[in-house]
This record gives sequence, structure tokens and C-alpha cells, in this order.
Amino acid sequence: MECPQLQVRNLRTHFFTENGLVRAVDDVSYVLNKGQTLGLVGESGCGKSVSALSLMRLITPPGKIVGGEILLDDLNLLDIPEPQMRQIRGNWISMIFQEPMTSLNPVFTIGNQIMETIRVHQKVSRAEARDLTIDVLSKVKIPAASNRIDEFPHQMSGGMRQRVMIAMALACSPKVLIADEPTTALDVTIQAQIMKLLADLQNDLHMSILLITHNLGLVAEASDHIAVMYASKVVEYTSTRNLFTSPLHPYTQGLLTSVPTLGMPKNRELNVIPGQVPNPLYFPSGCKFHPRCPLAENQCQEEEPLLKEVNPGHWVACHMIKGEVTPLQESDHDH
Amino acid sequence: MRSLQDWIPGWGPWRMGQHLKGAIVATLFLLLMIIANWQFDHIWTSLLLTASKFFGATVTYTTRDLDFLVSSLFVIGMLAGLLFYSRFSCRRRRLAEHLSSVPESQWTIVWRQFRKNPLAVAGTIVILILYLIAFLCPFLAPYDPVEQGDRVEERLLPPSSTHLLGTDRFARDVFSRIIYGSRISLLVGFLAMSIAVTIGTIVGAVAGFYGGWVDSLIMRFVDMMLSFPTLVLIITVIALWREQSIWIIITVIGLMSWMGVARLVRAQFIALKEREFFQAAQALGAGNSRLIFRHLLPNSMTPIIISATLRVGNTILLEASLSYLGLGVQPPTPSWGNIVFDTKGNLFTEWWMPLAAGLAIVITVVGYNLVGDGLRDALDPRLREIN
Repeated sequence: MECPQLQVRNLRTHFFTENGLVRAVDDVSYVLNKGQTLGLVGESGCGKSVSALSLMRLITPPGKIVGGEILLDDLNLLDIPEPQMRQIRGNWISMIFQEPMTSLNPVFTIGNQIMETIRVHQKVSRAEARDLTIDVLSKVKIPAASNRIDEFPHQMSGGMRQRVMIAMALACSPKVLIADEPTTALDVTIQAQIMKLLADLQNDLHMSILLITHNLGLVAEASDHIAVMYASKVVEYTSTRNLFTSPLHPYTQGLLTSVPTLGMPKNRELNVIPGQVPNPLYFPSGCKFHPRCPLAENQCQEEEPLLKEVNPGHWVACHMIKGEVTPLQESDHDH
Repeated sequence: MRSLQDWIPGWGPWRMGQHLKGAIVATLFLLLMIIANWQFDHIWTSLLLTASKFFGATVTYTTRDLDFLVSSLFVIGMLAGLLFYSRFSCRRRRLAEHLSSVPESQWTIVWRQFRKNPLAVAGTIVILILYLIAFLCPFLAPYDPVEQGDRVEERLLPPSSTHLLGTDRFARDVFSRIIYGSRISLLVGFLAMSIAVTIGTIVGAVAGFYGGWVDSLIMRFVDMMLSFPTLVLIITVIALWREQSIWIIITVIGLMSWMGVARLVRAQFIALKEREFFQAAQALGAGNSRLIFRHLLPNSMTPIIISATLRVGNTILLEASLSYLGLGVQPPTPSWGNIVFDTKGNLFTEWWMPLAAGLAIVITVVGYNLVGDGLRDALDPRLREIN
């Protein structure tokens, strides 16, 4: 039933800045199953977006992917030459961005831009590309698509532009869609519409979605599995149900208890995780969470914990939780 | 019936409610028709002459014949262009009425904004009239600008009805010379700026797009070029050539003034590369050339256009200074700069000559600068809020 579409193994992306080495993504692994959604959750600066850009191989200097594997089906994306990678971008893997207001080229009509994407990857005539564009625009539920195709980005609202972005990303029916905070810039009602739209499209097109966000409510609704990232590392990976019912890593627990809930007494203080997010230039030794961790012991300062499978399908990187160290990969697929 | 009406120049736009456009088209058409009628002999002869030359007849063909040919072709081309323009603007308009909502292009918006600025519109009109004069100068100038009259009787005449601005020390008609001079200034302004913008854009684009050591290398070269005193460098380069022609001057001026544009384009590219649509385009599999030509360059057009327009004035001034120093356009070919140069011996007695030529330079440069300022205001959406 569940078979992996995209596997990231021990991915490391480092930035060689003038101030020193920044390990933005350090030994990160996760699995995205076919037709499912994986939520990548973490606070700002924990390496979510860099890991997404690494999947597309769009890391620019001073950044560099220094190790790991990215397997799309059985193809390692880190091995193939750039011209071939260009064919994969937009065709097999596509991406939508956080800011719909600036993600579209302001000087061309939206139809023009979608047609361009189609014509990069498929040998079709202009007229055919236009038809395909109108198709995909109606797929993302833009009303009167055949009229709006000739509009410029500035003539559309934020929600509409995000729909156009999604249409553009879907124009070539990719296998994997990376959604980097797709609804952060939108208001709540539009947010719900866009998430609904993504879910519907996922069902229709059988694509896998990597949903990057810091919004826990969003992933709870939309994703099948969740990878929690803290300071360039995946600290917990499991199914959404598991994560919300029995979170194991102290960071995940802290995150979940710090979310205000409806019906909570008005003047009760929110739970917070003490301390601050560490500066990526000076990560603490051992477990990067130990200065803020309520369970920390001596071992945590010295030794970096590895991901271990605590329960079937539930990986945690913490010394205080017993389990066997196993590589995170094609997990519970027994067929 | 209706389609026949469309062919009447200006009538279509007028009837569709675009009175200004209609009036301009009609006036221009009428004006050109009058000129064509009035100079019919000249047009006809120059066409015949060129045709016979083309088919191998031995005819003497001078530069003046070439002047007439260019102007004749311009008149004919403009007449045809205006006819077709009113015809097709009619059709487009009618087509637009069928659609429920017509998408507005950015240029429509810019034009609407530009039109609100009376100074910019005045500048545009001045520049257009100057170009019209430059193209039509053989028809408009009463005399041949290089033909010398009687050196004793007709030398240094004051303005009169036969010589509107008098004659110079070689008994040439100054008014005609100033009309012909417009060609040099506008040609230099336009071509030198095109060269500068082309080189500047390419250099800036390469530096901005590739970054890293390519960028450092190119920008240090630009810094080096900028540190030369322009005029001295141009004088040196021109002095190295045996013969001086207008094309060499244009090329040299162009080659010496691209650095500003290069810096501008580079800065623009670096800024645009951080924008999300650029990343989005990359994420959708666009290659380098597509990224440059479809995403970066079109979005950099605004500052390029503005700086190009504003720099045309500089270029014209540079040519005038060179000609004034005797290094620019060589006599007897008239240019506004060398007209002033010619009169430097009798600056105070025949003051109308340098004054007229100087005024012509000022009007052109101010016209271009007004257009440039107007464009900047119209193209910058941040300024749009205030108005």
C-alpha cells in the first residue's frame, strides 16, 4: 500500500559563509510515500526550506550539498548532470512558494507564464499549450479561466495568485509537489480553500506532497506523516496520528503543549520551551536540544543522538528514549 | 461601408472616442500629404534616379541625392503607416468591445500615467517634431546646407526674409544648416546611446547573473573605465584615426558611455535573483537563457529605458562639445556643435548664429530629459501613489 516516492537519506547541505560553516541541513532523512503528504515541521531557520531547495538542487553558493542521497523512485537526484536535472524540475518535481504576491513574473500574463512552463517540458504548439493552460487553470478552480488567462499578476488577488502558482507547478503533472509554506501569506479562509484544493488535486493526480510549514494545525489536517526538524536535524518522524497522540521527543512535546487550545482558561500562561533557538554558526555539542531540554543528562552534552525506531514506524533521535538505531527508510510496507 | 471608412486616417480613432489620437493621426497625415504634394518633383526624381542607378544606368549619384531618397521613402512610408495604423487600431478597438473585459497591459497603464504629466508630453512632442524635421530636412531646408553663395556679396548677412538666420562666413544659409544639423545630433544621440545600452546591458547581465569571480572581474574593469576622464579619452581615441567620420564618433562615444548602464543592470539582476518568481522559474526547470531573457531582462527594462532616455541628452552634448573642439563632425557637414565653432570669430557681431544653434541643442537635450523624467515617474509605481 505505502510505497516510497521520494527518499531523502543523510542529506547534508552546508553553507560556507565568511563567518564560518553553517550546517543548514545536517544528516536529514525522511520518506515521502506515493500519493501521500509528508509534513515537514519546525521553527524558522531550522533548515526546512533549505532541505526543500536541496531536493530541487537549487542551492546556490556559498551553499553546497555535501552529502547524502535523494532518491526519486530509484534515481539519485544528486548524481545526475544539471541539464537533466533541469528536465526534472517542473516536470517530475515542482514547487510552490510562500509568497504568491512575488512568485509570478510581473511583466508577463499568467497564461504566458504557464504556457512557458509547459513548452519547456513538452513538445506542443502554442495553441495546444494554451488549451492545456486553460485546462490547468480550471483545475485549480479559477473561474472564467479562458478570460483570466490573459491577465497580469497585478490584476489578481493573493489567493488567486497562489492558485496560479499551483497551476503552474501542476502544469506538467509532477510526481512530487513541494509546498513551501503555501498558505502563510494568505488569510485563514483562503488558507482553508487552498489546502482543500491541494488535497483534491492530490487525489485526482496521485501526486505526493511535501508540505513545509510551521503551522501544526495545518499538518495535523493535511499530512499522513510528519517529520519534525530542530536545528538542521530531523528529531522525530512518524505518522500524524502517532505524533499528535504520543509525541516522544521532548522538543515535539514542548511544541505541542505550547499551542493554545480552544477553551483553555483565559489567563493561564502558555507553556513555552525555555531558551532560544541556537545560532547555526555555534550549535551546541552533542544533542543540539540539550540546553533547552528538561530531560537532559551528561550523555546528551557529549554524544549526538541518532534516529532510532522506538515503535514500528516511529523514529526519534533522543538518548533518553530507548530503542534500536535503525536507518529511516521504506518503513512499514508489507506487501 | 464601415470598413472603407476605417481607411480614412484618424477617422476611426476619432469615431471610437479617441479624439486626441484621431486628431494627431489626421494632422500628421495631412501635413505629410502637403509636403508630398509640394515636393512631388523631388520625390519623383529621387525615386527615378535611384531606380535607374539600381538597374545599372550611369548616373551621378551624390550624397544629396541620397538625402532626398531617404526623405522621400520616409514620407511614403509614414503615409502608408498612418493609413494602416488607423485601419488596424479601429479593428483592435472593435475587437476589444466584443470582449467583456480587456486586460490592460503595463504599457497602457504607464502611458495613462505619462499623459498626466504635461512637461513630459511637451518633451515627447518636441522630440517627435525634431525627428520629423531630421527626416524631412531636404524638403524643409530652403537651401543646400553646404552650398556656398557669393563669398563677397552674401557673406555674413544678417537675418532677412531670404535667409531666415542670415549666412555664415562661407555664405551658407544658417537656417538650412541648423535644420540639417538636427540629423547629426539625433543620429549621434540615438545610435551612440543604443551602442552604450547594448554593451552595458550585456556586460551588466553577465556580471549580475553569474556573480562570483566573473562579476568581480567585470566590475573592476568597469571601475577602471569609469576612472578615465571621458572627454580626454574620446579626444585621444578620435585623434588616433586619420579621417574622422560621424560613425567613428558615434562608436567611440558609445564605447565610452556604457558603464553606468552596466552597473544599473547588474544591480537590478542581483536584486531580481532574490525575488521569488526567479526561484519559481528555476524550480519549474527554466534554463539560463530563459531566466535571463524572460525573467531578468524584461523586469530590468524600466531603469534601462529611463537611463537610456536621460543619457541621450549627455551624448548629444558630448558630440556638440567634440564638434566645437573641431574633433567631431567635420565641416562642411553641418552639426550644431560645429556651427557654434564656425562662428567663434564673430560671436558678438553675428550673435544669432551661435544662439540659434545653441538653442537647438538646449531644446533637444531638455526635451529628452523631460521625457526621461516623465518616464521615470510613470514607470515607478511608488511615485504613482502620490499623484
